[in-house]
Amino acid sequence: MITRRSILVVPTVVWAGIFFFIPLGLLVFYSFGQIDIFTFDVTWGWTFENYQRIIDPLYFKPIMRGVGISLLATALCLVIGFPVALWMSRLGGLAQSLLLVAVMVPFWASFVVRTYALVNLLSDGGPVADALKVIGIGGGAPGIMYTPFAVAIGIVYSYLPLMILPLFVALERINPSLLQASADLGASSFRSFRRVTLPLAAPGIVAGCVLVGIPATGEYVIPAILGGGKTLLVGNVIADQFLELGDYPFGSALAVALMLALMAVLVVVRSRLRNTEDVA
Amino acid sequence: MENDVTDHGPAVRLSGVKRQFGDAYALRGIDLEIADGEFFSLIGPSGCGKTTTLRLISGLDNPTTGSVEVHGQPMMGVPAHKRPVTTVFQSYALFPHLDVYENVAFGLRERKVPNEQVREKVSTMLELVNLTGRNTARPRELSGGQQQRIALARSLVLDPEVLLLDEPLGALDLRLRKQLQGLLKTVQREVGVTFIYVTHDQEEAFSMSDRVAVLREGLIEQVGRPREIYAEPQTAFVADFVGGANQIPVTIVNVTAGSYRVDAGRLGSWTSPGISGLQLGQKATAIIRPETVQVGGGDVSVEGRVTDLSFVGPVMNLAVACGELEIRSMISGRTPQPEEATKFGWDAADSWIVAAAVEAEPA
Repeated sequence: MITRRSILVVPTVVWAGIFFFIPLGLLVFYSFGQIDIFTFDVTWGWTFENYQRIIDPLYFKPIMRGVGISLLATALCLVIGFPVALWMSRLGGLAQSLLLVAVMVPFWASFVVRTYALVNLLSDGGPVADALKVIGIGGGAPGIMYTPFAVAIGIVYSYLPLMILPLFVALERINPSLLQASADLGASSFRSFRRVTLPLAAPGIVAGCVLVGIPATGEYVIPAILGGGKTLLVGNVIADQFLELGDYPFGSALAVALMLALMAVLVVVRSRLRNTEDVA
Repeated sequence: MENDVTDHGPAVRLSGVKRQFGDAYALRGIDLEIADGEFFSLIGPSGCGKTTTLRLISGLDNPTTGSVEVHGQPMMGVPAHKRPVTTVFQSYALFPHLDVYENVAFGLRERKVPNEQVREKVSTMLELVNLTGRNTARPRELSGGQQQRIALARSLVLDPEVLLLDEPLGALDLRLRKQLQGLLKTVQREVGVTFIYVTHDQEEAFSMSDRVAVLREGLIEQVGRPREIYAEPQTAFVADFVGGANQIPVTIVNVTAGSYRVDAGRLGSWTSPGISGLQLGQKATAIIRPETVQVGGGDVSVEGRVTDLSFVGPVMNLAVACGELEIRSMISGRTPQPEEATKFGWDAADSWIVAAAVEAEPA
């Protein structure tokens, strides 16, 4: 129904239509097409061949490895971010505000610049390599730059705030009297953490993992800079199809498949989350 | 939390307990013994230290100096989760992610009680608090009164040696509060556990407790049975806090065994009982309960003008101006009109003499 108020959404709808849905439609369209490998002419068609190529080990193995790196980075973000968020949630006043700002400050500097800064830190002869040499690890061994590990470090560094913030919000909402009640009823602080803090923080954990995991899976810049073209994530495989190989149909099929997979994950997570929200 | 009490000390003994927060004292030296099976209440205005006292017993906080014993066992260094004491919190503090059944079972699970026994204990306890058939409900689906009953069941199911209740009915409406007061009293009689009850509501404390302690700014003003505290308050503060009282400045003009003759200036002079140890010539305070001040009655009578009248149900509350003094009265039956000059009076035997009110030293 068109009301005067709904006119307000027109600019958004037009914008999204032109710059989001049309390209997306083209992408889907391309993904069913075929390409002439000599002329790079795209022939429209309705073939599933591009989708079948995805599970070809030649592509599927690096794709799954990329997914693995993203999952690892997400898990690292959770493990590193949780104690920080817990600590922040127990502080009050100024200290808490300052820490919140500190968590968000990196967002104010360009993402690409920050990633390049990591290159200096991680490359051979850089401070990290020197420090490792001092404690006797990796002396003489090839550096961590251009390894999957460097990519994981880059993702953790860039996405950690996206993990900490939802965790913080969830933990801060837990009424401290619940932990007192838990102690009063005989639970040690570890048991209280297991039985009260963790379940009540579940929505934050899920939100943090979605916020980090999904963009990390499609991450393009970090592996390009820190992986040196050797460690590819799904995003890089897709970009290569378009930019290096000119195989638009296959690149489109990969993009659409990734999108569908992530949407499936989101749907499952959302429905699970609704159950826990019932609880919280 | 086995109830095997081999040591025959009191259920709780506090000796010289002080609690300091920075420069401020929350408790300035509490000595208290609470007998086994007693329903004991701590009352006092907010900030008097009653909740702090509970927290020191539960182990959620520790005294700066002094000792806490439960059945003769020193609690020094014993963390909250290992104390034979449980708490019913004012905010209920029910676990929102667990249903009613699992909330009540929480502590039993911690003690690794087998499932079958958990089921039995939980259902017995839910029956005791009159809340059956809601096992799978989440706390937020329940009313405040129901939530508080779950909190009670959750704490009692562990057979604590002492149950601490921190203003458990504070958030409920009057009717529900009365209903739950009855339930608490019944439950306490049934399980025989020592209850230590914190409230700022004197009526609530009096109707349920065996004994009551009145706290003021970190010190105990008086401990005793409700009737004692009401009839023979040891200080003007206690008299005022429990039930409200007219405080009339007087001078002691004669001391005889068990009673004093006091002079109240233009209100006259009379003889009435009071606390022991008052000296001849000393400034003192005569406590006169509003309900003992009646129109035209009593052997001490004064002339006054009605300045305020309010209807509170069974009685009328009156304020009567007698010179600079305002005397409050509670009467039923015929009430004088506002601004009407009337004769009021009380029986000398119904007044009670205490030392002149002093401001407590700053904490």
